[in-house]
Amino acid sequence: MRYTIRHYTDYRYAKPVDQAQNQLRMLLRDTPNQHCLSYGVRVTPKPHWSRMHRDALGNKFLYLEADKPHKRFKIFVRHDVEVTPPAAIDPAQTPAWETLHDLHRSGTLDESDAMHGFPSLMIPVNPTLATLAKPHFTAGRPVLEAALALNTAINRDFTFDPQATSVASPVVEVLRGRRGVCQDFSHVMIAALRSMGLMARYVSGYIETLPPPGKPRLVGADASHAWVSLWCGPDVGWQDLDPTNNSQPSGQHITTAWGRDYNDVIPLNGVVSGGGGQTKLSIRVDVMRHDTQQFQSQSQSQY
Amino acid sequence: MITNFQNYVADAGRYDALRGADGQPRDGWQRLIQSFSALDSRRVQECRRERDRLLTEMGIGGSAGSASKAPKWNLDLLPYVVTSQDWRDIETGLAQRAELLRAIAADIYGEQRLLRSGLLPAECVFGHPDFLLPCIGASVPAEQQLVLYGAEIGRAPDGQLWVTQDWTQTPSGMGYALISRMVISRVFPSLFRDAGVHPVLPFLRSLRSNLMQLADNDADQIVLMTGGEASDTYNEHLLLARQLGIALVEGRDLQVSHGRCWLRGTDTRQPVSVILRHLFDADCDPLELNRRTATGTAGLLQAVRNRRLSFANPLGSGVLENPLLMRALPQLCEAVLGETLKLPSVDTWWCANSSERKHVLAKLDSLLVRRVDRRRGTATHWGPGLSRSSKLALAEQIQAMPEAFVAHTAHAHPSAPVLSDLGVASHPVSLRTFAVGNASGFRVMSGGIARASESPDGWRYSARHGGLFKDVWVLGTEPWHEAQTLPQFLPRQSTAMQLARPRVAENLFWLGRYAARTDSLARLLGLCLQAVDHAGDLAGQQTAEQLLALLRIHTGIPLNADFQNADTEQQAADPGLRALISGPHPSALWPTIDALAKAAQPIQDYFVPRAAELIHTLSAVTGEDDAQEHPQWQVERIALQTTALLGQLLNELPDTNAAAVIEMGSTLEHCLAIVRVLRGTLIGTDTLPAGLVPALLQLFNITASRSSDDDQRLAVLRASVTDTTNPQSLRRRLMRLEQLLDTPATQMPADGLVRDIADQITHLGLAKLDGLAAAPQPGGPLDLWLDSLQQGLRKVSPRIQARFTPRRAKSQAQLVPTS
Repeated sequence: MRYTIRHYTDYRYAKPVDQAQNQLRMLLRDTPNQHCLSYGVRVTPKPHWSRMHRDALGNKFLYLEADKPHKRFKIFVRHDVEVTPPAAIDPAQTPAWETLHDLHRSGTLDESDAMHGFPSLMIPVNPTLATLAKPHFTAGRPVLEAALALNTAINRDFTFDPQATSVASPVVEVLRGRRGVCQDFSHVMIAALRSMGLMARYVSGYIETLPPPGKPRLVGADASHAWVSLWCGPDVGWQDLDPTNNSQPSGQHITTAWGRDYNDVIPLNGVVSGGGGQTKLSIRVDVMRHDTQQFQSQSQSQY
Repeated sequence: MITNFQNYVADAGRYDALRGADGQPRDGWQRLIQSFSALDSRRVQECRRERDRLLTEMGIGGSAGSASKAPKWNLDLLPYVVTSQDWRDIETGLAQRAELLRAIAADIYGEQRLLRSGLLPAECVFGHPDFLLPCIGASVPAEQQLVLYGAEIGRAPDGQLWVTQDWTQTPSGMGYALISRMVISRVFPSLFRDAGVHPVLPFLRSLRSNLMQLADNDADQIVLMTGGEASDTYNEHLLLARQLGIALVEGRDLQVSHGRCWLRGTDTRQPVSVILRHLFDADCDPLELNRRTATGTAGLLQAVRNRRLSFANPLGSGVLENPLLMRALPQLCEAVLGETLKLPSVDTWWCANSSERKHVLAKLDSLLVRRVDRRRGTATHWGPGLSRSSKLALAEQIQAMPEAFVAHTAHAHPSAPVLSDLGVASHPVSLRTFAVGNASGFRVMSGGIARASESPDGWRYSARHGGLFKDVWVLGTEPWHEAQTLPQFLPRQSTAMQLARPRVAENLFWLGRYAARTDSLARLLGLCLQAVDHAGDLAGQQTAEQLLALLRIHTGIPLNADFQNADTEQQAADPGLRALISGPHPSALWPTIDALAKAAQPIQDYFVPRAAELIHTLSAVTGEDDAQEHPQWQVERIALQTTALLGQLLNELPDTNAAAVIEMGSTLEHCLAIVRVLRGTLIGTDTLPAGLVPALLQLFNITASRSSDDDQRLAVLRASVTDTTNPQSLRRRLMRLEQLLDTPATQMPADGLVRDIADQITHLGLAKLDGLAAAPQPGGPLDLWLDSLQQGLRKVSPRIQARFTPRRAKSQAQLVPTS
């Protein structure tokens, strides 16, 4: 499947910002199921200095500096990407979860994977969090089967409520209120999985939304999204799970970056000087699927 | 005798540094015992006074003024002695340990081979909050992964030397090692000389040259980055920066632009390529490491990634300060260096392993229990001191989260003699020393700083918990001839940029303002007290009343002096005047002096010693008990000292730009004082009391009353406002301010400040003083005219400050819209 993704970000400051430094993690990484065909970034005002890097987990990020006073800061990112639905895995055929327990401590795994078994800045690991997962992780149960059951349980027991949490809700708070948004559900699920001694990571990206039957697709009504990836043993590898939609991604999820938690993959992380008062932020995301025939491969890259 | 060693009782549970098992003094201590035993208590008192004086001179008074939040700095007169033989073990052991830790850091942020092989347990790295993922890919050459290393050295009860803590982020205490050496070697010059103590100064030279090797370019700045006054060890940062001849900066003084770091000034900026940091890893960069920090500079890690900036120590090195890593060092040392670990770590049990947990729970009485991750849980539990119930509570915590806890032998440090008020006592002592490294290896300081706990059975060594510092004497085999006390500081790296730091300019400006405010207030109080003393006749009484009323206006503090019903004038004046001098109101004299000391504290390194001493003397007054001496003498002494201080600040500072900024502050403050005094005395329709005019003229330093004018108001106005022959008149002061603000060093093109002040001066020249003086009623023309002057002057201060103050950064992070 081919998609064109457009992501507009627009900041309006009450007072001029005279210096800004930003880290942009909005550029799609390649994954076994996803290949980025072309991309473009447009930033206004034009940054006076920028560099592209790849972080320790292989995510792309762009460092941008602006030093001219400005009251408006706009970023437009466009991608053309080819997504292949992952091969179907029979959950019942995955290894028993206990066989993967605490493998990250053994030191035989790939080093960057092992970190996803440990607590991180926004995701604590403790016995209380394990109780969320325990009912589903019965003795000898295949790991993906158990995780899917947890996925369903979180989807069922937590209420989707954009008003409930700020961008960085602590996991304990989400647990108490049982409501939140995709990031919160993902954080809760990762915390529960790690507390069971498994390795799980946070994935940020986009999801294609389909209009209600009979209605036209609305441009710009989509949004960025977040879900979970779980390590299911050396043969099966990482498997994505989406607790917000109670689903296993299969071609409609487009991955931007992954990390230990939201803090590792913040789409736009910045520090500005000045710009006091109320800041207005508007974001528009459009995920458009192409009929393969219509799609023209383009290659562009501009800053 | 207080220095008698006969009653010294060593702690039976510890290795005692002074006495061996046979009760005899150990090697190296005999000479010290002899010399100290010969001191009588009077001599000890003298030594203490000399020590305190020297500490004060170095700005390490601790409690000087209310400016410093740092805990009091106690320095024991008795040094801690280490024989050259023991020191050789420490030296080679630490050099090896530092090299090993450096290789481990290079691996963690580089290839991660040790991690993959399992030699370095994953929980030592990923389970540790100071492992900083963004630092991967921003790593530095392996031989720069650790520049400075500090170690806490203890001794097992059987005498085995061991390391109880590795310090790899910002090893602090080097400055304290220097201070204690400078002080103790001067208090006991001959004892020190004869003992043949190894010098510590060469270590600082090595540090400086290593920092310079890290620099891109000789012209680039090397800076010491501090968290500012709020840090416990701020006085050390000041001293170290001064000693190394590098600038002391806070995060807001730096800026990242074009991917590299700059030291920003009011009108220029200079590249910085090396930062010696005294900030924890995460506090250095709000962009990538900790969005909540208020201390760092955004983009510093990016500058490292671009290879334009080096940190000593590199960001992320905090991951090495880990008790679990200490356990893994022996096998890592074999694998990495192919050597046996020479200096072992303190016995450590990790509660995640069930056998070790069992041991810990059974032996809580003899262990020190702490969290693996020290930042999140700061509580450390001292087993021998725990009550039954707290032991149970601790055991419960351990059972609930065993992997979060480690335990060490409780008596991991030796005891050593401390000279307390009661005599020579045996306290536990922790020794800290340092190593500095480059490609050719590590060099260890020949000495260090020892810290004794506050009591014989204490277990905490920090100054915050009442600990004492001790100089560390590494004994040589023969007397040492190199200089020990610093004849001079290492040369300043660059003098041109001294004013570069905006915070410095701001502090200099306020120092000037507070000094002038202290000056005016003390002189006014002096006049007032003098008038009260002579308030015998009606005119004298009226003068005193008028001056008191003036002081009330000047300070905004209500006075309750009632002359009519008082028994004696002195009594009557006292309560109100005392409130003006030592009361808590912020515009009373003591609080003003405290504010002066506070403004001066962060910029001590700009002063000549005489100015620093004057500030210290001034601020010491505010700590004294009330009414030690006649208030009038006290106030007059302060007035004299403040005048002397202003003289030092304006005329003797080596940096003329700094002096100019101080003068801006003092000049503006004096202008404000003139207008306030005039409004407080001249407004009102009554005839001025006879004593008032001479008093005012004295205040404005006008020697002869040149008043041929019949109208005394007019005489005062002329002399204090428009007289251009009097350098203290408002007009002359404004002219001076205009001149100061118009210099290229501080010029900011578009703020119009100089033009506005020039307008004010013209305005003064055009005023019809005789007409104004004839209409002094409240709300009348004179009142309104003075009011408009005052309003105009008040607006100047924020505008001057705006020239210095950069805008504050604020953090932004995008909310992920949800689906």
